[in-house]
Amino acid sequence: MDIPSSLTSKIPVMSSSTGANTNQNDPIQHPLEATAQAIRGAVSGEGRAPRQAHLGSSNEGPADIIAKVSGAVQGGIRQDDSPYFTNNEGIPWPDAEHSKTIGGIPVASDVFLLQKQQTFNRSKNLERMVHPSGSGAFGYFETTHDVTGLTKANFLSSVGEKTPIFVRFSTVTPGREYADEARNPRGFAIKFYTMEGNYDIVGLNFPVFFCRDPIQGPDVIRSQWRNPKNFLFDYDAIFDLLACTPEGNHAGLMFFSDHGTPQGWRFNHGYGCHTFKWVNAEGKFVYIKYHFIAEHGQKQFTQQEATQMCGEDPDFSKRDLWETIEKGQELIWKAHVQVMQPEDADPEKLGFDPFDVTKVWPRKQFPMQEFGRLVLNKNPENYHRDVEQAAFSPGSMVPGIEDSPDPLLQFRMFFYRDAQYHRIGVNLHQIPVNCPFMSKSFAPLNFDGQMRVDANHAGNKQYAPNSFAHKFRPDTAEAPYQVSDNVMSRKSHYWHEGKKND
Amino acid sequence: MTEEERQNTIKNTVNMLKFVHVEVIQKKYLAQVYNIGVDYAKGIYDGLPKKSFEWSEVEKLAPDAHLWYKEAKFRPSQGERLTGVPPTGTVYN
Repeated sequence: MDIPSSLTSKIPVMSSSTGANTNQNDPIQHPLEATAQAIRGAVSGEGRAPRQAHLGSSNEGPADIIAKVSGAVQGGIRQDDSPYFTNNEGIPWPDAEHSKTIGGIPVASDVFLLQKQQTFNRSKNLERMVHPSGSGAFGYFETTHDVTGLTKANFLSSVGEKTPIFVRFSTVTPGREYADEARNPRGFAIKFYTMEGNYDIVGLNFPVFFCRDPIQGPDVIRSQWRNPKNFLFDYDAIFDLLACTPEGNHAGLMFFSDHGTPQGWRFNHGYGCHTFKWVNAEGKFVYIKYHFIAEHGQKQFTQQEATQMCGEDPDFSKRDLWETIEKGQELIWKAHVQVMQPEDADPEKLGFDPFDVTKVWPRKQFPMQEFGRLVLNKNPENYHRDVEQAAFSPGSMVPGIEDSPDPLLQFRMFFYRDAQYHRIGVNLHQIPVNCPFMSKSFAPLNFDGQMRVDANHAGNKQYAPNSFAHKFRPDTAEAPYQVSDNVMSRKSHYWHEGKKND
Repeated sequence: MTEEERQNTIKNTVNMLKFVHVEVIQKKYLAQVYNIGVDYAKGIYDGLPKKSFEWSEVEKLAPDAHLWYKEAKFRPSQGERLTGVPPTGTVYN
């Protein structure tokens, strides 16, 4: 179905200058789109007038905020310029050091004292169950090679297209404030703010994972958590899980190698780990694996160096990323895919299971094909808002990119969002870093919930179908694929299971 | 993996495996590693500061290590596997 131009570009986005982290609204890259946006803003009365004050960003929506923070829009007022401090109701705050008292004793009617303490008492979010310790940066993804024969993904549709991104790096199992150089895999999560919605790749610095069946996911993580009896590191558990899980020992080998103590977030390659589909405009698909190769190379600490760094600078990885970008250096990862035709994706033909996340695809047989580059060049502006509340989901895929029969991927597509609805809430899309600010259309059919502050229904009916608006996209229905059988059971479909080559 | 990387991996593993209190966990873990590389497993075994079992016990365990906890009832046996191919006919109208 062709999309009428009247349905696209609902959110006016300011044009970028040449230094901006996107060119998708730039008159040079997309002249018609940029002109249409500018005219619509001018005639609709929705163009934002010059603001008199920062107002704590409360007169900006999440899309305005993240457009600036991501570097897609430059300039603007970004820091408090108010003439005096206030409480949350905008009432002038009398003094920094003196509570209201009777005879020197604090009173419950001191609303400034109470609001300050009550906010403080509630100021930490629930910690992520996995990947709690991390930091990130913004930048852009640039398509460098024509892959339109393989995928119809909008952000990959032409060479030179620049899409804003946010990347969050992390350790996996240690707690939020544990030392960065702990022995662990590193999370490598990318959010692409594309014109057909936010696309997340939620990967690692390892190309493989410790388990392949989702029912073992919590076991893998808990085996690396602390002993429930005494809260000490539980070495028995780490090794016992690996001793009892043959397929986990490729990731285990990487865990115990110096890849478990890389030099910061920077000197890592990133991997999508799972197998995904790329679907082209004709509905034909291939299977792919993502590789993000650090232009600056991989570097690891030895165990001694990592242990020393844990004490010398527990924030080493976070500091290294922050300071590198503050110095104006760009960090670049070249994006590659391995490609497999669906007819070949059969372990009986290949001798390995291409959908088993504990295995890799041989590069000689499936060569790396470059298609773009990730560039990080801008630090977040507020850690709690931009990093702590960032929410990535393997299920957040855009048209042209789809799932594969990988069972762990299938379940991750559900449970990351579930974890975030618990940690942040169902309206996490209103947090700027999660807002699909580049999307051509944004009209969610999910309503209400705690702290819903955007347009919510925006005049749409809360049921569908209805007689008033019918704007679905049948053209984006997923490419059908046929699986190997139609029997429901607990029977294993892992080809390597019970084989020596597992 | 270079020789230095290999030796570091062995050393790093020893440094954590030595904290394991339960002998059978050490043995079973080494049996899994044996199936990746005998030299790698032997290197870890040799590096352990205290050994309460013989290397031959690891060798004895390794041949079946890939079957542990893979319940026979659920193992693939009739060609079950993960595939995803385009359907032979059209699906959408």
